[in-house]
Amino acid sequence: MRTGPELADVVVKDAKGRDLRLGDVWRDKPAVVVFVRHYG
Amino acid sequence: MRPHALEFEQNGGKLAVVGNGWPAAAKAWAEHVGFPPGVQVLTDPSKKAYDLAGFKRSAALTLLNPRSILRFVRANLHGFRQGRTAGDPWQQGGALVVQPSGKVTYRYVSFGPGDHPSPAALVDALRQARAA
Repeated sequence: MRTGPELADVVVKDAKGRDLRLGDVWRDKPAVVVFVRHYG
Repeated sequence: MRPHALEFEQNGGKLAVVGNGWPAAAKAWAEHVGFPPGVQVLTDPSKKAYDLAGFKRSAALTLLNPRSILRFVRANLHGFRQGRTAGDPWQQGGALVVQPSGKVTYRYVSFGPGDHPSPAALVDALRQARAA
């Protein structure tokens, strides 16, 4: 399964509110990306 | 997950945690949990990434899932208490392991509260992603 450009191109925000392209998370090395239900 | 956070880096990868609340909630939660500096805590308020990854959104999975109720009781017995919800209460989570090429080598879709892969399974998936 490839993520395709769609998932990689989703713009998320870091904890400081700055925009970040999700694909940048795994750009340099493999990444475990855990999606939580919610904070708390 | 926090006690195992360094294991991902030690195995040549990284850990990112994505929620769906506002950035202020992500910041407060990250500080509360105390992740090491290398862990990225992100938020996807649009939940577009959740949708593209194929993760579920269901009130029934949250409220009427017997396994989740059992996990909730078990977690409380072990002293884990859920805090105030910050984000979509019906959104379910999951996990991906993604190579730099963009290939997803592991995907776990959660079917309710408390349904998540073990840290050991994620570390193993990361090792396999590096070896592939």
